[in-house]
Amino acid sequence: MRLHSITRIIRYVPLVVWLIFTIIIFGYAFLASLSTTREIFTNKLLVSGFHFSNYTRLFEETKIGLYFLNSLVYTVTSCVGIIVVAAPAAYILGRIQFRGKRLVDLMFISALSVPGLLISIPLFSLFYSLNLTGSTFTLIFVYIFTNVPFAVFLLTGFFASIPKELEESAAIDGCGPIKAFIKIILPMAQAGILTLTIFNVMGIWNEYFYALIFANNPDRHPIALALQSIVVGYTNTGNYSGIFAASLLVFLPTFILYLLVSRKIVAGITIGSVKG
Amino acid sequence: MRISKPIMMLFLLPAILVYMSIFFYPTLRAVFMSFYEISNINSSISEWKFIGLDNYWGLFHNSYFLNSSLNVLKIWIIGGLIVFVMAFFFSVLISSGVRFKGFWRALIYLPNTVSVVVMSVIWLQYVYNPTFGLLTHVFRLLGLEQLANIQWTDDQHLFLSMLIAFCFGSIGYFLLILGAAMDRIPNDYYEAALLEGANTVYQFFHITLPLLRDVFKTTLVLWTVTAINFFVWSSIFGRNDPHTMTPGYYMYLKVFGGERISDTQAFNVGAGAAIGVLITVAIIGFSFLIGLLFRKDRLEY
Repeated sequence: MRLHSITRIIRYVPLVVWLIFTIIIFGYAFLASLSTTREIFTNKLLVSGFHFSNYTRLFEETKIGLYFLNSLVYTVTSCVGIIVVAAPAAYILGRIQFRGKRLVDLMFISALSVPGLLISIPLFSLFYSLNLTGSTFTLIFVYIFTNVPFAVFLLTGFFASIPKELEESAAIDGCGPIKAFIKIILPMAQAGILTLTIFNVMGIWNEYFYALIFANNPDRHPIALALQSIVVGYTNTGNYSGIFAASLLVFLPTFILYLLVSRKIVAGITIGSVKG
Repeated sequence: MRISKPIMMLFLLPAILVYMSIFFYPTLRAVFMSFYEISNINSSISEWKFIGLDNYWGLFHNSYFLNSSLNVLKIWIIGGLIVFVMAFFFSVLISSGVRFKGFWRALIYLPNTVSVVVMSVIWLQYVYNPTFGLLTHVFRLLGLEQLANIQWTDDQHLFLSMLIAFCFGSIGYFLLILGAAMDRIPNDYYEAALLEGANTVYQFFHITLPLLRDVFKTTLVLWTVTAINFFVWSSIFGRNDPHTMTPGYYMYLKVFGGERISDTQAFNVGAGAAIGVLITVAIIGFSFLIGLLFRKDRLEY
């Protein structure tokens, strides 16, 4: 399409406005997290220099270090678990025709439309009767289990695109199916597994709903859930710089990850939507 | 390579067991629970009292629940308009040959990677803040005193404020899906249209939109599911305020109890399960309707 030079430039205006808005809101949060509450209220951010004490005070007054660690454990363990459960199933569904395959496919797809709200009630009473509420494992189980259907759905496509000859040559070399899967197929599906894991890391790090219901021991709270109580507490005591500092601690890990891998995310959504 | 039956089962079984334990069993049990009066989520089955359809009947006569459903309808329509108009607008803009295409898409998607709690803090404590907030500041600079004095988080505006903040974050996701679909439309169509003298607006309505029918259907289903499931923003941004109540959040209060429940009725887990069932039925029903409205497109390209 050929356009006049003025229209060419005008097209950038809404994009630049969006960019400026984004920089202002996140930039403000960052600067406010290093200012005093008085400076925030008088609109004079940073006039008395950088107050890194907002962050150190956060670690003294709250258990934010513990919550950060909890989130790290939840995220890493769940992401590994999802792949361990979903990848073998996706491999079979993506490469082998068998009776009942359509039913299994349908099963995982239908699970995608079951709302978390519906299953949370029976699951909670199930965990209660098994005496599992409040433990770290409960939330990890929930994260792995609820993410498996989408993982199977996404990885099936990746496995289907790997050439069939690979396993045949592996079989000739005397590789059993399990060994062939781990040594040859999994590395071939690396791109898909990586994309999926990036999504899962972001999703689980920021997850709120299941944490609210299943992590009812305060010491087991992930950071996104704990942040809400910290925000409510600091709003009551009027510690606004503390609110922004705590928010930044939750924001930064996924933001840095996003800076590194945004290309993969953008591509990943494209794949998912084309198939869906 | 031939894979034996036992190996196949070994590979498939974990995922199938996961499905059975977290989707199949809970769904059936939730439907079952919705016919009972259950005072506490930890009660054993012997303490449940069968009341048939009374939970559903009660919900349809509960102004609190009806009001929360109305909120979902508002989210679906008003939020849907904002999200789709903006997502289409920016997709067209970005696919029209601007530089740094990937950067702009990644920028607009950014809020999707940020915790809702953090986004709420930024909107509530900064953008909407009446003393040092961004909106007050900008409107005052522009001399628009009336707009500058709006209390964005009071009873009257809270719902709208939440919806704007929520939509700001949602646009990016739909932008990526629509943008990817637009990229797949061959350029020849536009060149031919240009030769025939069609302007950009005409091209959008007569080439882009018709070819995006299938993708639009998918995104519409996604948006409908999002609106019906609306929960986290009500819980965090709305902080239990009745103005931002949705069925999902009402269900949570009914079953698990929040800090405060303005509804005088006591806990009833059965009623909560009934809300869960209604939400699921609504999702399936609306997805089916949208599927009917947009029959499979025969246009291939």
